Order: sequence, then C-alpha cells, then structure tokens
Amino acid sequence: MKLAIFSDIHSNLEALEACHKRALQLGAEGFVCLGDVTGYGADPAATVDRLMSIDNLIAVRGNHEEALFTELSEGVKESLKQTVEWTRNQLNDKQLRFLDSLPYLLEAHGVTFVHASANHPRQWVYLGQGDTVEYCMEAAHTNVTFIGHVHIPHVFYKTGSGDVRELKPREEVLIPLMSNRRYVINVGSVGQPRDGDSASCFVMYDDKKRGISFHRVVYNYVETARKILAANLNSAFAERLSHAK
Amino acid sequence: MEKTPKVSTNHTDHAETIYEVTLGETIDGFKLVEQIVESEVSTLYRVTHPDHPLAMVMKVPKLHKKLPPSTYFGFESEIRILSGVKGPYTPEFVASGDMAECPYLVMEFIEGESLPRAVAEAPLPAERVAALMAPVCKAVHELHRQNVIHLDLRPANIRNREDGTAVIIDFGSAHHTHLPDMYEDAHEDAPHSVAYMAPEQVHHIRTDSRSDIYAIGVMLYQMATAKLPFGQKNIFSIKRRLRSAPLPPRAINAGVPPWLQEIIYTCMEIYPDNRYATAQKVAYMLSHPHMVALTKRSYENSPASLLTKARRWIRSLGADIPQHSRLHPAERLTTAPHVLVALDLGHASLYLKDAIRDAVRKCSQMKRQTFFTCLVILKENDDTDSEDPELIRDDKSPRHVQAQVELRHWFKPLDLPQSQVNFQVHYGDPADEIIEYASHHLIDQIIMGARGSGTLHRLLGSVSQKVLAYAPCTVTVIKTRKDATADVDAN
Repeated sequence: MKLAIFSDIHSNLEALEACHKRALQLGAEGFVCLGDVTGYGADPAATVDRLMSIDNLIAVRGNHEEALFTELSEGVKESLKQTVEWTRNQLNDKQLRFLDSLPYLLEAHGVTFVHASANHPRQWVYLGQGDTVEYCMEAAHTNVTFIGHVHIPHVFYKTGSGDVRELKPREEVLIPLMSNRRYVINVGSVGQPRDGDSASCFVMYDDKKRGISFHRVVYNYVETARKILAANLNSAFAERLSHAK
Repeated sequence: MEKTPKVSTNHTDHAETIYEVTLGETIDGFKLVEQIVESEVSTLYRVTHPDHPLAMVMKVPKLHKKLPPSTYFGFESEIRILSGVKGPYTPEFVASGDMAECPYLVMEFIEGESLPRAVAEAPLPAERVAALMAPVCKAVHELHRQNVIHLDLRPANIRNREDGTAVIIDFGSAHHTHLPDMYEDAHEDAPHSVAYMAPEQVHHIRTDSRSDIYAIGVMLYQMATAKLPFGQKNIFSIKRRLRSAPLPPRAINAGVPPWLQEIIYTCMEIYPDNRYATAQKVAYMLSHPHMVALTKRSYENSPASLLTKARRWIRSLGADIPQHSRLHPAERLTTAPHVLVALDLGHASLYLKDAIRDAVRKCSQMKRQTFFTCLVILKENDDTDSEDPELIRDDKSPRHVQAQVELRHWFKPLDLPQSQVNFQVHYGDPADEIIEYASHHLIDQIIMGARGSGTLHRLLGSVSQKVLAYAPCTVTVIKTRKDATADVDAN
C-alpha cells in the first residue's frame, strides 16, 4: 500500500490541500498524520475538517493537540499559549473530540508512527541531539519509525556496527529501506517547514516495496500569511512561512 | 520445485553459515542452472526465469562468522545502488530477495571480459591502453552523473558489451550521495582493492568522485607497465600513496609515451584538486593525445632522486586532504564542462561569427574549467574531383588545413590557453556529425549558429533544428537579428 505521511500541518489549509492533491497524483492509497494539526495558522477549524474528510486516514497526537487539552506549564512561551487558546476557541466539539481521540503512538503497516519519539512519546523530545535518535530506534517495536515535530526532513539509520548516521534527503529520490536495519524518518512539515525551504514537505511510503521518497510542494503561502495577519495572530508565524527558518 | 530458503540465525552476529543455495533449485521463480564463480564473499549462478528473457546471474552472499561484516553491508549497498542507476554502463537490475529471509541479487549477465583479459597481457601499447580505457572512463562519468561513486574500480570489476561499451560491476563499496551509506570501514579486508585505492580513501573519505579518477590512473599504469604503482597490499603500499608519486611508468616500460605518463600522473595526483575533475576529461585526453600538455615529469624515465623524493615528501606534509568533498559528483561535473562549438565558417555571416564568439566568451568567463572543442564540418564532395574518401578526408589536404587555420583565426580573439581548446575538422552531414561527436565525447553543451529562417530552411529543416531535436545535451543556438533579415531577403 502506498501511504502519504504528513506531519505538523499547523492549521495551514493551503499547504494541506496542496500536499493532499500531490499525494493522490503519486498514487497514495492511505494517509497518515503525525500530529500538530493545529497551532500557528489561522485556519484550525477548516484544516481539521479537511483532514477528517480524507479517506483511509490514521493519525497520532502531537504536542499542539496535547496543549489543547492540558494546562500549559509556566515555562511555555507566551506566543504559544496565545495560539493554543485562540485555536481552542475556533474549534467545535466534533473537531476537538477528533483531536482528543488521537493516540500518542501507532503501529501499523509494519512501522511505527509517533509525533516526537517512540521513546517516551509524551516528553516531546526533539530528535537529533545526543543519543535521542538511538533511544527512539531502540524503543520502537518495529525497524522503521516515522516522526515529525522538528519540521526538518531527515533520515537517521543504524549501520551493522551500531553507528547511527544521518542523511539529508533529496526530494523525489526513492530510498529503499533494508528489512534488517533500523531507521527513524523525520517526514518534515506540511504547514511550517523550518529547513530553509518554504515548500511543504511530506513522505510517500510503499509498504510492499519498502521504500520512501520525500516530496516538496510549493503552495500559496502568501495567502496563508495574509490570513494569519488578518486574524491578528503573532506576525512572526506569518513571516516564518516564507523564510522557513 | 519452488523453494524459499530461510536464513536461520541472526545476521548481525554473523554467528555461523546461515544461508545456502544449491544448483537446480528455484528461488522466487529463478532457476539456478550453472555456477559461474565462487569468491570468498559470494557465489554467482546463471539463472533463468520464465518471465525474464534476459541473460541473468544471481549473486548469493556468503554469510559466515569468519567473513568480515563488510561482505554483508557491501551486498546491501550493491542492491540499493544497482536498483537505482540507469543506462548501459551497469548491469540491469532484475530482482532482489529479502535481506533477512532470503538474500540474493539477480541482474543482467554481462559476458565480455576484454579488459581483465588485456590486463593479463600487459604491458600493452599506449594506443591499446587508450582504446580499452576510454570506454571505462565514459562509464565512470555516467555513474558520477547519477551521483554514484564506485570506490572499488579495478580490472576485475569491468566488463563490456558486444559493442564495446564498458559495464561497471560490483557496487559493494560504492557510495550514493542521496542514499543511506551503510558501509563500514574495512579496507584491510579487501586486499584486491587496496592497490587501486586513492589517498583520501585511506583516510576513510567516501564522498569524492575523484577517488575513481585515481583508480583509473592505477589501471592505466598497470596496463602500460604490467606493474601496480605501489605493489600489492601491505602497510607500505598504503602509506606510500599518501606522500609520493609512483615510479615513472617509462622507467619500467620505455615504450610508454610521455602523453600517457602525463595522464597517469595527473589521475594519480595525491590531492584530488590536482587530478582531472571528471572521467570524461580523461577519456578525451586518451583519445586526443596531442591535447595532453606535457611537462618535465611526462618524460621521466628513472626513479626520482633522493632529493626530489625528500622535497615531495616535505611538500606533502604541508597540505591535508580535505575531509569532505564540497561537491556532489553530479555538481563536480558542472565545474568542468566540455562545450562543443560547431561552426560553419564558410557560410556564416560576420555578425553570426561574432555572436557565437561572444557566447563562447561568456561561457569561458564563468568560474569553471570549461574545455572547448571547435568543430567544423566539411562536405565530402566539396572542391574535389577525387572519389576516394581517404583522399577527401586527408588532414593535409589544402581545404582541411584551410579549415583548421580559419577555426584558429576565429578563436584567437578569445585569448584562451591552448590547453583549453581543441580544433577538429570532420566530414559528412553537419547535423549527424555534431550529434555523433556530442554523444561520443559526452559533451555537456553545444553552441552553434542558426542560419536561415527562410522558406527553404522551413521546408527542409535547418542543421540547428536537427541538432536541437537529437542532441543528448543542452544546445544553445545563436541567432542575430541581422542574419534573420538577410536570410529572408536571400530567399
């Protein structure tokens, strides 16, 4: 089955629409959302509705979903608090129930789906520093784990001698996954890329051929930014869409 | 009988022999009909399959605790890379088995072994060395274009198709810029490969496409002298390549011409920046020896004096080999493009000739090591009563020399060094000759003039239209407003 894996949509309806369309063109038969459907963007309700309308979708919870249903701790940035509260007010019961129903981690199609790390998913660790990647690899019950959260596409893999190495993926290149090796794959962000490329990012995974490919979609971020400013949200959320840092 | 062999123990521990196949059995539809060769790390079988008419081989790895882990990683790497590369320069990938369950690789069987056979007959005459190695350089260039660095080029890994196309095999050590690199540093386990290894590979650098250029140099050396430049694998042969040049080929075989020695030395420079940037350039030099700029070392025919050796050694201490190549292989190719300038000096107007020269000047001013070939094509039946094609193509005939002189005269205002340009006079249909030259020499860009937008050209199609349609590369067609007007008037 060909799966399109989206993460960190962040209320960006234009980006979601563009990625969904491209994924269908690429032959996607199923969809996965790795969390953080809302936050930052000005279209939370429409984005959640659009996501819920996608056939064959499975999804996990991100820290932005978690924040909607828990009290934020003191240390959290003020701007983040504001976006969470604003977002909560925009969503109806049905949308909130959908987001609240999402599990922290899913195993399906022979792989693991989780927002931040398979190791203590609720701690929302940013994978990449120190041994965090290796802990995630070891904690997962499957050889392949798909994650989001960092907003930067990445392939981490473990060699036969135990080295964890990383690869900055190039779009459109088919990367075969060896069945006896461990991988952690960060699928990048649909709605708020942070690798310097403003184009949306998602991954196609073919569970039969066991291969992945990264895809970038240029969407109309000017419209997304305009809506953020019109809603009087933090202007930095709008600016970030173009410089993608 | 269909059988799917199972791997019985854990691969990562390399605990014991874990995977065996036997002749006559069928694996995933592939019937093993003949064992071709057995090496320390794998066995090759001829296989047949009702759905695949191709001549095929199956490679089955030996997985055993006594074998180095690199065997296994190499096999994985070979599957990953071979399944992604395209073109006639590698065996076609057919199928592979699951690594944990039933590891195998099925690929096209390439029978030709003319290169390894020729190496056994070394020393070979320079012309034969060049004729054998130019196709290898082209194959390597095409691999680099696809961002694959082979890193284990040696005669045993080179086969050929019936038309002479070189086919590179065994991607067990190869690196692909855009794929995970599972390779483990285990060069001490691969004695056959060490002799061809570039200095940076000794430092475990796997990202520089010019490591393959070094190996090409070692093969050239071996074919010209019947010796390996630093001998077989031992600790001295590994370390010596980091600090010194090998014994001059002409000291072993006095028949090695200076141009071949110069090519070998340039390929085998210790620092990658001093080597040819692309394998295409090596191929071009091998097939155009008169273009090789000779230096003092081209003529050396005795071992370097102790003083020279000491000087080289001290100089080598000063510079470190860069840890990572800044450029991917495909990016590297763009730094040293080969541009073909096709000229029709007899018919082009002064304006058009100036405009083409301007385009060439712009091209030469970019920060690249651009190499130009200026090509003029003469009609075979021009200005001669002779029917003998050999006489018509005589490169001493007045019109041939005249064309050469005109080309050089046209090029002179560009004021580029001689080593950066070659002048060629060919005979035949202009479009066919240009397309053939561009294909044969892996040209990166063609610059040519457009003549004629008049009725006749619209009906028959112009040379530039045909080249644009069939050339294997970018074509820049130069057109001037004046020419367009003049041609309309003329028609």
